[in-house]
Amino acid sequence: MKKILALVTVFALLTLCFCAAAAFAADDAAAAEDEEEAPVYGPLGFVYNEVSFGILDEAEPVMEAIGEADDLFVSASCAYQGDDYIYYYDGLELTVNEIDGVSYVTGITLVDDMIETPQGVAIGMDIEEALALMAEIEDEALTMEENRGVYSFQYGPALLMIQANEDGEITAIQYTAVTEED
Amino acid sequence: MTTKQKIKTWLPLCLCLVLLAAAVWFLGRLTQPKYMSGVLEGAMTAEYYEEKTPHDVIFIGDCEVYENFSPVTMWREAGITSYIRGTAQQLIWQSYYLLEDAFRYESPKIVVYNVQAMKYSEPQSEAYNRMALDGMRLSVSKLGAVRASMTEDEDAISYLIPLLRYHSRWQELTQEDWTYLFRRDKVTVAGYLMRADVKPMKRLPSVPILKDPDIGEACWEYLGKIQALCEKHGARLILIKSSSIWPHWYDEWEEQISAYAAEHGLDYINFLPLQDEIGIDFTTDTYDAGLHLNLYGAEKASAYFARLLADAYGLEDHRGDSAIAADWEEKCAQYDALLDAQLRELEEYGYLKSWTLGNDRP
Amino acid sequence: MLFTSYRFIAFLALLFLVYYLIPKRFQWLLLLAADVLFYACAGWKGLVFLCVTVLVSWLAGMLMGRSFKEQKSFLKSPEGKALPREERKVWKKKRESYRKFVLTLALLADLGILAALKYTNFFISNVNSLFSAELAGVDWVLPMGISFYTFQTVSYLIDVYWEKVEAENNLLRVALFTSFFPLLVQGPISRFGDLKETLYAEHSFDFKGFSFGMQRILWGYFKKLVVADRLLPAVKALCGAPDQYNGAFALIGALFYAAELYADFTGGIDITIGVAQVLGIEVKENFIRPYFSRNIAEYWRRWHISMGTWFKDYVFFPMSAAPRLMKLSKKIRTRWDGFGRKMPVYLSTLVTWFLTGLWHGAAWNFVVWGLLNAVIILIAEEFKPLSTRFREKFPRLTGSFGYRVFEILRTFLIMCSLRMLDCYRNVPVSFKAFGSVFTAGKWREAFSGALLELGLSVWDYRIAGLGVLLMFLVSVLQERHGSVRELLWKKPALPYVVFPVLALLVLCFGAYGVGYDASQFIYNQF
Repeated sequence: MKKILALVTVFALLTLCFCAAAAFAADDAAAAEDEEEAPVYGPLGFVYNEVSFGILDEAEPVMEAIGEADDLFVSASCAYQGDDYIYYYDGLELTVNEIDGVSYVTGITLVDDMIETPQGVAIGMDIEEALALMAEIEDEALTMEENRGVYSFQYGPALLMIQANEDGEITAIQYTAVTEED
Repeated sequence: MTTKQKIKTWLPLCLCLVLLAAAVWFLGRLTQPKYMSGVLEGAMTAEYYEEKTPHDVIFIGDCEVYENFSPVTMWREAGITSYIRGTAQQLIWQSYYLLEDAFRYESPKIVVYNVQAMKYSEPQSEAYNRMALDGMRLSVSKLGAVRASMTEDEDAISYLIPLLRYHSRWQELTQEDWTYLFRRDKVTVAGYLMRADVKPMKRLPSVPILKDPDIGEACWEYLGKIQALCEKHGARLILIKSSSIWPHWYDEWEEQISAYAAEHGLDYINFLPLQDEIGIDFTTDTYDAGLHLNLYGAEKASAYFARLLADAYGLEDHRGDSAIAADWEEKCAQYDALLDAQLRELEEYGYLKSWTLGNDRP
Repeated sequence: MLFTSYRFIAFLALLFLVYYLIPKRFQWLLLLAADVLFYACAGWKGLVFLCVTVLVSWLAGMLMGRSFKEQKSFLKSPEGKALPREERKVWKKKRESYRKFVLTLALLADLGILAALKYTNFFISNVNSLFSAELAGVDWVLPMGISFYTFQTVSYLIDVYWEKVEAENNLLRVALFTSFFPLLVQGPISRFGDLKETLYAEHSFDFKGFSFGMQRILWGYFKKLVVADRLLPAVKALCGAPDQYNGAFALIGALFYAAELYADFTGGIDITIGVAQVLGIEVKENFIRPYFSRNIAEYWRRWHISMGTWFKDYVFFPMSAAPRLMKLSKKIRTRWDGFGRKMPVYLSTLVTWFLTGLWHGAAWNFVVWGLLNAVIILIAEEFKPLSTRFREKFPRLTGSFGYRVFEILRTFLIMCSLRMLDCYRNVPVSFKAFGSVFTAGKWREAFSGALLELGLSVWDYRIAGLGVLLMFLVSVLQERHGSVRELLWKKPALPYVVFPVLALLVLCFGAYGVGYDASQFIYNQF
C-alpha cells in the first residue's frame, strides 16, 4: 500500500510535467509546421509560365516546371568558386548557384516589358505607379529603401530591386538573394 | 636545483619542443595544397620569388591581369620586362601588400593596377585569401595582408603555421602532395596564366542592378596607399580597366575612377572602348565567353599596351641587354612549350585537362 | 573566450609566463586581473552581474562573519558570561536570526539574479501556455557561467552561515574565488574551504606540477577536438531530425551523444584542472570514469561530482533533516510507518532532482530528465533488499567479471536513454525516439551508408572510434593504477614521446579551424 502511494505520488508529479511538455510540444510542432509552409521569400515570389517560385527555391524543380531554357551563360569567377549559371528564357533570365551541392535560384531578372511581377510591376512603367502597387503588399517584414533611383524591397533573404531613370521610368527589375555585402 | 639538474630537466624538454616544431612544419608542408593541377592560381604568388632579373613593369590585380596580359608578348613586341603579381580575386589591399613586397626586391618604373577588384571593399573568401597569401614570404607585408584580408572565421596564426589550417586535408592527400612537398613546377610565365582554349562569347546576360554604386572607402584608402608607395619608390602608377566585358563595368564606377585619376594626377586607361583598336574579337579571343581573354586576346592586348608603354612612357627596350635577354629567351621558350602542350591537349581531349578542373569538358 | 580558440591559448601562455615571473605575493592579484579580462571578452554586460554577485556575497559574508566574531567575543566576555542562561539563549537566537536574515537576503539576491536572467522566459512561456496569454519574452543577457559562479557563491555563503569556513573580508579575494576563470566555463563548482588555501597561496614554479598540468590540458584538447567536436555534426543531425532518424538511428544517436558529451565535458574539465595545476592551484576532480558505474547512484558519485555534492549538501541533506518535514513524517508514520520513515528522503530526492534538472536548463525536458533520475534512484532503493538477497543467493554470479560488465552496460544504457531528453530537447519526442528503438527497426538502413550522410566520413568515424578507444584504455589504466601521468613520470623518456605524439594527433586530427564550427562546450550555456 505504501509503495503504491509512493509510486502514485511520483507518477502524478511526472504526469503534470508531461502535460506541460505536451502542450509545448504541440506549440513547437505547430510553429514548426508554420515555418515549413512559408517560403523564405514571402511576398516577393515570382510567377512565370504559371509556375510560382522565388529566391532560394531549389532550381531543378523550378526549371523543370517552367520549361527548357533557350540558352545558358556560365559566369565563372576567378579560379573555381561560385559559378553563376544564367539561364535565358523568353523575357526572363534565371540565375542559379550551387550551395553545398544543391542548385538554388539566386536571381530572377526581367528582361523586357512583356513580363511583369505578380504585383503588376513591369519595365517601362512609371516608378510611382510601381511603388503604389508594391505598397499594397501588407507584410510588416517587408522593408523598402531607396538609393539613387534603385528601390530595394527586402523580405528575409530575398531582395527585389527596381531601377528607375531620371524620368521616373523603370529600366530594370531584378530579384536576387541578399549577400553579406548588402 | 643544481645546474646539472636544470640541464637534465630542461634539455630534453627543449629538444622535444624543437622536434615537435619540426614535425609541425613538415606536416604543414605536406598538407598545404600544392595547386599543381586543377586550380593553379594558388601557386602563382610564390613564383614571383624565382624571378632572376628585374622588371620595368609590375602588374597588380586579379584574373583580369593575369589572364589578359602576356609579359612574353610585351617582351617580344618592345623588349619590355614585366611581371604580373596577380591571383584569383586579388583584393586591392592584397595588391597593395604584394606590391610592397615586390618593392623589397626590385624597383619597377611602372606599376599597372587593374581597378575591377575595387568593387570589393570587404574581405570576401577565405579560400581566395589563402591562394593569394600562402605563397608570400614571411614579412611585415604578409602580416599586413593577412590582417587586412581575414574573414571573420579566420585566424592570423594559421597563416604562420599552415598545419592549423590544412590539417583536415590529411584525408585528401594525393601523390601530388608528396611529389611537390619541397618543390613546385611553374604554372605561369612571368605571372601570366596561359589559356589557349576558345569559348566564343554569344550573348551576355542583362546588366545586374547596382544597389550601391559607390566604391567603398577601404578601396580608396588602399588606392591612395598604392599611389604613395609608388611615389616613394619612384614608380609611375597607371590605372587600367582591362578588356574583360563580364562582370559588367558600370558607368558609375568608371566615373568615380576617372574622377579620382584626374584629381590625383594618375593615368587611367579603360581598355573596353579600345577593343576594336586592339583588334579583340570575342568569338576567338576568349576562353570563357567574354569573362577573360585567352592567349590570342591577351597577346593582342599586350602588344597594344607594350607599344603604348614604349611610346608614351619611354620604357627601355632591354633586348640588347644580354643578361636580361637570356632570362627572357628562357621565358619565351617556356611560353612556346606551354602553348604547344596546351594545343596538344586541346587536340587530344577537346579541353585543357591539365590546366583546368574539367568543367569545360565537351 | 572559447577554450579552443587561439586567443585563449595565447592568453594562457602569457599568463603562465607572467605568473611565475612576478613576485609571488602578487600572483593572486594577477589571477584576478586575468579573470576580469577573460570575462570581459564575453561581454561587459555579464561582467556587471558578476560584480553584483561578488559584492553581495562579500558583504553578506562579512556581515555574518562579523556577527559570529561579535557573538564569540561577547559570550567569552565577563558581561556575556554574567548573562543568565535564558537571556544568553535569547541573545544568541537574535544573532542567529540576524545572520539568517543576511543570508536570506544574499541568497535571494544571488539566486534571484540567476532566476531572473535564466528562467524568466521559461516562466513566461509556461504562463502563456497555461492561461492562453501572450506575454512577450525578454531579451536579457545571460552572463557566462552564471549557474556555476552563483552556486559557488551560494555554497560560500551557506558555509559561512554554518561556520564551516570563516568569512573572507577581502573583497578582491572573494572576487577571485567567485570568478576564477578556469572554473567559470563549466565548473567544477568548488567550495571556498577547498580552494582558499591553494588559490591565495604563493606558488613557486614546480616542473612536475607544470608538466602534469600541461599534459592534462593536452589530454583535454584531445578529447574535445578529436572526439567530441568530430562527433558533433552526426549527433546534431541525428537529434535534429527524430522522425527521419528513429529506430536504430535513435540508439546510435544516443551512443554517439554519450561519447560526445563525455569527451566534451571531461575534456573541458581536464583543461580547467590542467590550467589550475599549471598555476599551482589544486582543484577537485569532477569526473571519475562514470561509465564504469554499476548503478545510477554510483554514476552520480562519479559524474559531475561537484554538482551532485552541491545539491546533496545544500538541498538534499538540509531538506531531508528539516524540522517541518520531520514533523510531517512523524504524522504520516502514525498511519503508514514505512512510508512515513522514507517520505523525507524520497521527497527530498525528488525535489533535489527537480532542481538539478532545472539547473541544467530552463525547459521541461531537463526537469523530466531530473525527475526520471530520481525515480530510477528511488526504485533502485526500493529494490535494494531484493537485490541484496539476489547477491547473497548467487555470490559467484554476482561477483563475476561478466556480471560486472552487465551492470556497467545496464547503467550505461539507462543513462543513454535518460540523456535522450537532453539530446532531443523535447519530452514527447524523446519518449517517441526511445520507443522507436524497439519498434522502428531501420538497422539495415543505418549500417548501409546512411551514417555517412550525417556530415562524417568513414575516416571521421575511424578517428572518433580510435579516440574513444584510447580514452577507454586510459580510463582502464586509471581505474586500475591511478594517475597515468604518475605512471609515465616514472619512465623518464616516455612522456617525451607520448605527449608530443598526442599533440600532433590533436593538431592533425582535431576538428578545429575554418570549416569546423568552433562549438562551445555543451555546458558553456550554464
